[in-house]
Amino acid sequence: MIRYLILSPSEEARQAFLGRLFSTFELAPRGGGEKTTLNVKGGDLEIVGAGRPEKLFEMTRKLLENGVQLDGILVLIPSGDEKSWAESRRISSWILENRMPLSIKSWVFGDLSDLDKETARKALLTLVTEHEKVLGK
Amino acid sequence: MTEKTKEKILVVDDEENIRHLLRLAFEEDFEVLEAVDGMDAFEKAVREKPDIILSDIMMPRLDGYGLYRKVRSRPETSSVPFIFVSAKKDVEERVVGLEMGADDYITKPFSVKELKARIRSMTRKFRDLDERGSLKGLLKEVDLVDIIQLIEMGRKTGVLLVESPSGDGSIFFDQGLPIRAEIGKWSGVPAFIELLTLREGRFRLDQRSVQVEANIPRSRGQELVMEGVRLCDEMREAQRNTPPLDSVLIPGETQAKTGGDLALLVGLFQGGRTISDAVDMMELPPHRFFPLLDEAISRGYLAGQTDEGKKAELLRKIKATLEKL
Repeated sequence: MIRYLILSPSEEARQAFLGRLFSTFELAPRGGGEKTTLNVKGGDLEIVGAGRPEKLFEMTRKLLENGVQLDGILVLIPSGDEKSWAESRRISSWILENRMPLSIKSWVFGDLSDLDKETARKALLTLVTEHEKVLGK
Repeated sequence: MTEKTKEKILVVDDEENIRHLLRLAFEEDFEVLEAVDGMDAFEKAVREKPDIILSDIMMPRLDGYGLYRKVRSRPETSSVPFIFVSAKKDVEERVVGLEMGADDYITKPFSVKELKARIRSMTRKFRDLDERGSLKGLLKEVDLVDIIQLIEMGRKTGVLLVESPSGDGSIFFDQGLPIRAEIGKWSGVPAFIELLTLREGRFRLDQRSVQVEANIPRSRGQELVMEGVRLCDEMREAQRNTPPLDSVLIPGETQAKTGGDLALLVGLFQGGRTISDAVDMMELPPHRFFPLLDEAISRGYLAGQTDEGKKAELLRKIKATLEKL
């Protein structure tokens, strides 16, 4: 199984992304995030959504340090959200420093209508391509 | 009222434990005769004229295949139904299990229930063939090898039609001898053997005159059934040894010599490929493909994919699925 994290301070953005691309997703209790699974012969792609403003780095670090399997992270950043952008860069540096075989991509959106199905597909495929590069190294 | 005479079953196995087990299993319904090897069995078959022979394959002096040939060559025994019990490896495993005093020896590793069902089915098919002149059934319930033996023993003429997930096939018989076989892209001897390996689907024997162009030499008829049984055994043994069909293999650290089917097979896995894809691409029937694959893996020419390789393969599939969403 491959597990990707859709990380965003915006719950609406995560849910628009998953809902428009996969039509369906599960919600964790008490706003704990979202999850959906794409069944593929030979394994599954599990996509979990999570994130809160100014907690993106800490949340990711805790997940990885606690041994949660993550193969890739797609950070959805609202346009103009400099703090989330800085956190995304911090996550990239931390992954690099710790030599983790993990791909990460950031995707900036203007408003929720930007996250249509085609855009969501393109963003996820970009992450998959990045993941392939990481595996090829 | 006179008691109906029991049918005779000749149990042939060099392992006393197995013979004992089979005697216990069958003595209620059959008069059980025992033989310790192929030579002993052949003498008893000629003398006692059993109604069915149940024989192990690997035995000293004369093995099961040799016994089968001798039994078929004598007019007085040529029409006796004959069942091979198992391949060598299975017997070894079974005996070890029995010697260890396993409690579940009846169904595991030796399934008496399955064997009894197969014998019942075979004797019933014999009656059907004699009384109604036609036969049909499911391959999961009866081996095509048994049906072909029935046709051969009864010197039947007609066509055996098979519908299976691997495709539809047919075998034409003239006086009990297979003269033409076809399934999917295979024809002739490879098709005949391929048909014997099928375990799913249904079959129907239509007894009628056949006027078709032969693609199996008449001289190979009887020998072919034997060869088919042997190749089926080899294929199943190889399938047990090789990974599941969706496994991705890559060339191993040992390099295969150039030329020949083995090198061709290894070449197919350059860059990683699933076994099922290779089966489709390689112009070899499964009974030749799997023993070759087994050999390539055991010689180190092919190896399982690394975790990274497995993930890369999965990513390719994920990408394809995402593009279709």
